Amino acid sequence: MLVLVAVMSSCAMVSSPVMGTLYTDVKSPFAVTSNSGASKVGSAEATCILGILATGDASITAATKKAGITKIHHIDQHATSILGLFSKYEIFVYGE
Amino acid sequence: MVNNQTKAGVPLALLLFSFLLFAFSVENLFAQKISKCFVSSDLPDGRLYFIKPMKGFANGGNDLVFDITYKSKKDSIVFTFTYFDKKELDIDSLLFALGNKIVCCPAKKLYVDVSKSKWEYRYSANLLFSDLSAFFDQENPPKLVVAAHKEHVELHIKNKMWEKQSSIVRKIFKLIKYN
Repeated sequence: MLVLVAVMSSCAMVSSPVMGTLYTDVKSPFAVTSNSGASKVGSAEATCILGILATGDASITAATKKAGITKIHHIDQHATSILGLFSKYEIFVYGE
Repeated sequence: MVNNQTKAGVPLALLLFSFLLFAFSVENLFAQKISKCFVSSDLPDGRLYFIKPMKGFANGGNDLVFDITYKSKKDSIVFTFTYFDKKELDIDSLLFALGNKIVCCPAKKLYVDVSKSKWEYRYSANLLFSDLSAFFDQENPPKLVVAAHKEHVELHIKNKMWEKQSSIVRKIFKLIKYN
Protein backbone atom coordinates (compact mmCIF):
# COMPACT_ATOMS: atom_id res chain seq x y z
CA MET A 1 0.00 0.00 0.00
CA LEU A 2 2.82 2.34 0.93
CA VAL A 3 4.55 1.61 -2.38
CA LEU A 4 1.32 2.31 -4.28
CA VAL A 5 0.86 5.61 -2.46
CA ALA A 6 4.48 6.54 -3.16
CA VAL A 7 4.08 5.76 -6.85
CA MET A 8 0.71 7.45 -7.27
CA SER A 9 1.77 10.57 -5.40
CA SER A 10 3.90 11.46 -8.39
CA CYS A 11 1.17 10.48 -10.84
CA ALA A 12 1.33 11.58 -14.45
CA MET A 13 1.56 15.36 -14.03
CA VAL A 14 1.64 17.49 -17.14
CA SER A 15 2.56 21.12 -17.64
CA SER A 16 -0.58 23.24 -17.96
CA PRO A 17 -1.81 26.65 -16.74
CA VAL A 18 -4.77 24.88 -15.10
CA MET A 19 -5.01 21.26 -14.00
CA GLY A 20 -7.95 19.01 -13.26
CA THR A 21 -7.49 16.09 -10.88
CA LEU A 22 -9.80 13.85 -12.91
CA TYR A 23 -9.37 15.22 -16.41
CA THR A 24 -7.27 17.86 -18.14
CA ASP A 25 -7.56 18.90 -21.77
CA VAL A 26 -6.06 22.37 -22.01
CA LYS A 27 -4.59 24.29 -24.90
CA SER A 28 -2.50 27.31 -24.04
CA PRO A 29 0.11 29.65 -25.49
CA PHE A 30 3.77 28.87 -25.00
CA ALA A 31 5.68 31.58 -26.88
CA VAL A 32 5.35 34.21 -29.57
CA THR A 33 7.96 35.96 -31.70
CA SER A 34 8.05 39.09 -33.85
CA ASN A 35 8.36 37.06 -37.07
CA SER A 36 5.46 37.58 -39.42
CA GLY A 37 3.44 34.89 -41.14
CA ALA A 38 3.27 31.14 -40.85
CA SER A 39 2.59 28.46 -43.42
CA LYS A 40 3.99 25.43 -41.65
CA VAL A 41 3.14 23.64 -38.43
CA GLY A 42 5.32 21.15 -36.61
CA SER A 43 4.27 19.08 -33.63
CA ALA A 44 6.12 17.09 -31.01
CA GLU A 45 4.87 15.17 -28.00
CA ALA A 46 5.80 13.30 -24.86
CA THR A 47 3.63 10.87 -22.90
CA CYS A 48 3.60 9.55 -19.37
CA ILE A 49 1.88 6.44 -18.04
CA LEU A 50 1.04 6.02 -14.34
CA GLY A 51 3.72 8.54 -13.49
CA ILE A 52 6.19 5.71 -13.96
CA LEU A 53 7.03 5.64 -17.66
CA ALA A 54 7.64 8.86 -19.53
CA THR A 55 8.84 8.94 -23.11
CA GLY A 56 8.94 11.26 -26.10
CA ASP A 57 10.59 14.34 -27.46
CA ALA A 58 8.42 17.39 -27.01
CA SER A 59 11.18 19.83 -27.81
CA ILE A 60 10.83 22.85 -30.07
CA THR A 61 13.79 21.49 -32.03
CA ALA A 62 11.92 18.27 -32.79
CA ALA A 63 8.79 20.14 -33.88
CA THR A 64 10.64 22.61 -36.11
CA LYS A 65 12.71 19.81 -37.65
CA LYS A 66 9.59 17.79 -38.51
CA ALA A 67 8.04 20.67 -40.44
CA GLY A 68 11.19 22.27 -41.81
CA ILE A 69 10.55 25.51 -39.94
CA THR A 70 13.36 28.03 -39.80
CA LYS A 71 11.43 31.10 -38.60
CA ILE A 72 9.08 30.58 -35.67
CA HIS A 73 5.90 32.66 -35.52
CA HIS A 74 4.35 31.28 -32.34
CA ILE A 75 4.17 28.12 -30.23
CA ASP A 76 1.11 26.59 -28.57
CA GLN A 77 0.96 23.73 -26.12
CA HIS A 78 -1.69 21.14 -25.34
CA ALA A 79 -1.84 19.19 -22.10
CA THR A 80 -4.01 16.12 -21.63
CA SER A 81 -4.34 14.05 -18.48
CA ILE A 82 -6.82 11.35 -17.53
CA LEU A 83 -7.18 10.61 -13.81
CA GLY A 84 -3.50 11.31 -13.44
CA LEU A 85 -2.88 7.87 -14.90
CA PHE A 86 -2.15 8.89 -18.47
CA SER A 87 -0.87 12.23 -19.61
CA LYS A 88 0.30 13.73 -22.86
CA TYR A 89 2.10 16.96 -23.58
CA GLU A 90 2.15 18.33 -27.13
CA ILE A 91 3.66 21.45 -28.63
CA PHE A 92 2.72 23.02 -31.95
CA VAL A 93 5.22 25.29 -33.61
CA TYR A 94 3.91 27.66 -36.30
CA GLY A 95 6.31 29.31 -38.70
CA GLU A 96 7.94 29.54 -42.08
CA MET B 1 -21.07 8.17 14.10
CA VAL B 2 -18.05 9.44 12.21
CA ASN B 3 -17.18 5.90 11.21
CA ASN B 4 -20.66 5.34 9.78
CA GLN B 5 -20.38 8.51 7.71
CA THR B 6 -17.01 7.39 6.37
CA LYS B 7 -18.37 3.96 5.51
CA ALA B 8 -21.28 5.55 3.63
CA GLY B 9 -18.93 7.91 1.80
CA VAL B 10 -16.80 5.14 0.28
CA PRO B 11 -19.57 3.55 -1.89
CA LEU B 12 -20.68 7.04 -2.90
CA ALA B 13 -17.16 7.93 -4.02
CA LEU B 14 -16.91 4.63 -5.87
CA LEU B 15 -20.24 5.27 -7.54
CA LEU B 16 -19.14 8.75 -8.61
CA PHE B 17 -15.84 7.39 -9.87
CA SER B 18 -17.61 4.64 -11.88
CA PHE B 19 -20.02 7.18 -13.33
CA LEU B 20 -17.21 9.46 -14.45
CA LEU B 21 -15.31 6.55 -15.95
CA PHE B 22 -18.47 5.46 -17.79
CA ALA B 23 -19.08 8.99 -19.00
CA PHE B 24 -15.57 9.23 -20.42
CA SER B 25 -15.87 5.85 -22.15
CA VAL B 26 -19.26 6.65 -23.66
CA GLU B 27 -17.99 10.01 -24.84
CA ASN B 28 -15.03 8.38 -26.55
CA LEU B 29 -17.14 5.60 -28.05
CA PHE B 30 -19.88 7.66 -29.59
CA ALA B 31 -18.57 11.15 -30.08
CA GLN B 32 -15.93 11.46 -32.71
CA LYS B 33 -13.97 14.22 -31.13
CA ILE B 34 -12.28 15.78 -34.12
CA SER B 35 -11.14 18.70 -31.99
CA LYS B 36 -8.48 16.38 -30.58
CA CYS B 37 -7.23 15.51 -34.05
CA PHE B 38 -6.42 18.97 -35.32
CA VAL B 39 -5.39 22.46 -34.32
CA SER B 40 -5.98 25.74 -36.11
CA SER B 41 -4.69 29.24 -35.85
CA ASP B 42 -5.93 32.56 -37.21
CA LEU B 43 -3.13 34.45 -38.86
CA PRO B 44 -3.16 37.83 -40.64
CA ASP B 45 -2.83 36.03 -43.99
CA GLY B 46 -5.46 33.36 -43.47
CA ARG B 47 -6.37 30.45 -41.23
CA LEU B 48 -3.91 27.62 -40.77
CA TYR B 49 -5.15 24.10 -40.02
CA PHE B 50 -2.96 21.26 -38.86
CA ILE B 51 -4.20 17.68 -38.70
CA LYS B 52 -2.13 15.85 -36.11
CA PRO B 53 0.06 12.89 -37.12
CA MET B 54 -1.85 9.79 -38.20
CA LYS B 55 -0.55 6.30 -38.86
CA GLY B 56 -1.94 3.18 -40.48
CA PHE B 57 -0.38 2.98 -43.93
CA ALA B 58 2.23 0.25 -43.92
CA ASN B 59 4.00 -2.39 -45.94
CA GLY B 60 5.03 -5.22 -43.64
CA GLY B 61 6.98 -3.53 -40.89
CA ASN B 62 7.54 -0.36 -42.89
CA ASP B 63 5.22 2.34 -41.60
CA LEU B 64 4.22 5.75 -42.78
CA VAL B 65 3.10 8.50 -40.42
CA PHE B 66 1.61 11.64 -41.93
CA ASP B 67 0.27 15.02 -40.92
CA ILE B 68 -1.62 17.55 -42.99
CA THR B 69 -1.28 21.33 -43.09
CA TYR B 70 -3.82 23.50 -44.87
CA LYS B 71 -3.72 27.25 -45.33
CA SER B 72 -7.00 28.84 -46.34
CA LYS B 73 -5.43 31.58 -48.47
CA LYS B 74 -3.39 29.20 -50.61
CA ASP B 75 -6.08 26.50 -50.74
CA SER B 76 -3.40 23.86 -51.00
CA ILE B 77 -2.34 21.04 -48.75
CA VAL B 78 1.09 20.18 -47.44
CA PHE B 79 1.16 16.45 -46.78
CA THR B 80 4.17 15.82 -44.56
CA PHE B 81 5.15 12.24 -43.94
CA THR B 82 7.71 10.10 -42.16
CA TYR B 83 8.47 6.77 -43.75
CA PHE B 84 10.41 4.07 -41.90
CA ASP B 85 12.28 1.46 -43.91
CA LYS B 86 15.33 -0.73 -43.45
CA LYS B 87 16.33 -0.06 -47.04
CA GLU B 88 18.20 2.97 -48.23
CA LEU B 89 15.88 4.91 -50.50
CA ASP B 90 16.11 8.06 -52.52
CA ILE B 91 12.45 9.09 -52.36
CA ASP B 92 11.33 11.42 -55.11
CA SER B 93 7.52 11.39 -54.94
CA LEU B 94 4.41 10.15 -53.23
CA LEU B 95 1.57 8.64 -55.24
CA PHE B 96 -2.06 8.76 -54.13
CA ALA B 97 -4.42 6.17 -55.61
CA LEU B 98 -7.78 7.74 -56.43
CA GLY B 99 -9.73 4.86 -57.92
CA ASN B 100 -8.24 4.41 -61.37
CA LYS B 101 -6.48 7.73 -61.23
CA ILE B 102 -3.06 8.26 -59.65
CA VAL B 103 -2.04 11.64 -58.28
CA CYS B 104 1.71 12.00 -58.23
CA CYS B 105 3.23 14.58 -55.89
CA PRO B 106 6.93 15.38 -55.93
CA ALA B 107 8.35 14.94 -52.43
CA LYS B 108 10.68 17.45 -50.85
CA LYS B 109 13.21 16.09 -48.38
CA LEU B 110 13.14 17.55 -44.87
CA TYR B 111 15.65 15.16 -43.33
CA VAL B 112 16.79 11.56 -43.20
CA ASP B 113 17.55 10.10 -39.81
CA VAL B 114 18.11 6.74 -38.15
CA SER B 115 15.40 5.29 -35.91
CA LYS B 116 16.47 2.05 -34.17
CA SER B 117 17.29 -0.35 -36.99
CA LYS B 118 15.46 1.62 -39.68
CA TRP B 119 15.95 4.70 -41.78
CA GLU B 120 13.57 7.54 -41.01
CA TYR B 121 12.68 9.51 -44.14
CA ARG B 122 10.90 12.80 -43.52
CA TYR B 123 9.45 14.42 -46.65
CA SER B 124 6.67 16.81 -47.60
CA ALA B 125 4.47 16.88 -50.66
CA ASN B 126 2.14 19.60 -51.94
CA LEU B 127 -1.20 18.74 -53.45
CA LEU B 128 -4.56 20.26 -54.14
CA PHE B 129 -7.20 20.30 -51.44
CA SER B 130 -9.68 18.72 -53.87
CA ASP B 131 -7.32 15.81 -54.63
CA LEU B 132 -6.67 14.94 -51.00
CA SER B 133 -10.35 15.40 -50.25
CA ALA B 134 -11.16 12.87 -52.99
CA PHE B 135 -8.53 10.51 -51.59
CA PHE B 136 -10.19 10.47 -48.17
CA ASP B 137 -13.68 10.27 -49.72
CA GLN B 138 -12.95 6.75 -50.94
CA GLU B 139 -14.90 4.01 -49.19
CA ASN B 140 -12.40 1.23 -49.77
CA PRO B 141 -8.94 1.58 -48.28
CA PRO B 142 -6.74 3.11 -50.98
CA LYS B 143 -3.05 2.65 -51.38
CA LEU B 144 -0.22 5.10 -51.09
CA VAL B 145 2.96 4.56 -53.03
CA VAL B 146 6.34 5.84 -51.94
CA ALA B 147 8.28 6.25 -55.15
CA ALA B 148 12.05 6.14 -55.02
CA HIS B 149 14.47 6.30 -57.94
CA LYS B 150 14.91 2.56 -58.16
CA GLU B 151 11.75 1.14 -56.64
CA HIS B 152 8.17 1.77 -55.59
CA VAL B 153 6.83 0.76 -52.18
CA GLU B 154 3.07 0.19 -51.96
CA LEU B 155 1.53 1.03 -48.61
CA HIS B 156 -1.83 -0.32 -47.49
CA ILE B 157 -4.14 0.44 -44.62
CA LYS B 158 -6.49 -1.88 -42.71
CA ASN B 159 -10.25 -1.49 -43.26
CA LYS B 160 -11.13 -0.48 -39.71
CA MET B 161 -8.27 1.95 -39.47
CA TRP B 162 -9.25 3.52 -42.81
CA GLU B 163 -12.90 3.89 -41.75
CA LYS B 164 -11.86 5.72 -38.59
CA GLN B 165 -9.12 7.81 -40.17
CA SER B 166 -11.01 8.83 -43.30
CA SER B 167 -14.12 9.81 -41.35
CA ILE B 168 -12.05 12.07 -39.09
CA VAL B 169 -10.26 13.73 -42.02
CA ARG B 170 -13.52 14.10 -43.98
CA LYS B 171 -15.13 15.81 -41.00
CA ILE B 172 -12.20 18.20 -40.61
CA PHE B 173 -12.22 18.94 -44.36
CA LYS B 174 -15.96 19.74 -44.13
CA LEU B 175 -15.19 22.12 -41.29
CA ILE B 176 -12.51 23.77 -43.44
CA LYS B 177 -14.95 24.11 -46.33
CA TYR B 178 -17.62 25.73 -44.12
CA ASN B 179 -15.12 28.28 -42.86
